[in-house]
Amino acid sequence: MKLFNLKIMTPEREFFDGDVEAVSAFAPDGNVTILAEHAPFIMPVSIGTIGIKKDSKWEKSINSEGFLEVHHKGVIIYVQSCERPEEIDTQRAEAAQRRAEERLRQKQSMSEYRQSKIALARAMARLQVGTKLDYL
Amino acid sequence: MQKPNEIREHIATVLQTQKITHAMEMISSNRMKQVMHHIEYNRLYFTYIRRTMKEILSSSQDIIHPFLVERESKHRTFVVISGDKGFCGAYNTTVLNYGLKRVKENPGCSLIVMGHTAEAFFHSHKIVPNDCFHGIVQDPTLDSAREVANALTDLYENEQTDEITMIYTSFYGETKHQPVESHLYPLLLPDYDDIRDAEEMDDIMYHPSAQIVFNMMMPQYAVGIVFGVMVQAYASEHYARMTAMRSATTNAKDMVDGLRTQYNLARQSAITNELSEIADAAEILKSADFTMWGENYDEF
Repeated sequence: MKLFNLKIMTPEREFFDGDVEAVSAFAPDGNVTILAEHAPFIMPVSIGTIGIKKDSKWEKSINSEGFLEVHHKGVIIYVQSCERPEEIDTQRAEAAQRRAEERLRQKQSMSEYRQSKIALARAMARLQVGTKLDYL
Repeated sequence: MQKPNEIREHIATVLQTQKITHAMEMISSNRMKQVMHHIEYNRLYFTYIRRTMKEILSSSQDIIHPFLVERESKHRTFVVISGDKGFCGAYNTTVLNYGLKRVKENPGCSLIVMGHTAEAFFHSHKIVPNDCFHGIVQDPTLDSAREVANALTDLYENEQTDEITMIYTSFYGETKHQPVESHLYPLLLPDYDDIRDAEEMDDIMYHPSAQIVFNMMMPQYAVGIVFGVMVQAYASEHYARMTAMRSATTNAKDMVDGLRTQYNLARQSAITNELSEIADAAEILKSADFTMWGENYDEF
């Protein structure tokens, strides 16, 4: 299979840089998989999982919101955070989920409400992968 | 000439100050080390995300989005980032004076400050900042960057301001350690002139639509830029503090050396004085007429 360069970047670290066969990510309206020689393309990435196909094996990692750019030389995914399943601290995610739920209950303002909702979604997505729920 | 005791006290004071400056130097160099492995990557991220933005902007001139439009009214907001503490050479003054100059050039603009020194500085110039972010500059995390970016995006979206500029100290390239400004909103192509290797992508596709893509992408982009700026300011601050404290420590060392010489001189001259006094006294005693004593003594 033809390979292309994939970079996954978060503001804090370079999560991935290498040649892959395919990459899949969550768009707001469903899962999108990109193969080599895709036309230039921009899309937002929702909180969920990013799948990387390398050596005919899918590897998945959990990501938070961001966006994906396909340019002529390859694909760059910018996300706020990206973690491998083994990096996820389930307890921490559970604590974050509780915190976000608590904040949602006593939602004070609209913008805070929005922020809490995103935090909750992020925590729940981590938990789903962290507890090895296969839905890719 | 000072007395040996006074000089000794002076030496002790300088040594104590030296201890403090040395400790501060160590702390800053430690922080630098921690941030250094971030900084190389952060620079890469900063360049990449700006290149992507340039590619999008240069290939989609027909997209209409509030973030891409230069508004008619020109209400500017400046975000000035300085340190929370002093003791870092000219770092704070340079960036703050630059900020002050820009604020004075644009009457009626809003001002948002990050860092305690910035707040105090503008207050002393009779300018009250419209907003302050505290406790962020000494610990730049993604969470705090998110908080700042959301606040700034809200400000722009609610049309409370028409242009947001961040003023901070650069840590990269030709402008290293100098105050620079970078536009956050609106996004205009000329701001990306320094990025040269962007691709031409006339046939770019947006999924599901350009509008939705921009709506979801802008907050992410803003967080990335704000975080990058915060990390640069943080690294610059600690670099400045490290250098300032290092030269302070060296100065203290030179000063102690000088004072030690002075102390020895003073001590020696005191000893010489004492010796000559004793010698004089002995001389006097030797030549003194003791017969007088004897006669007087007999009288009692």
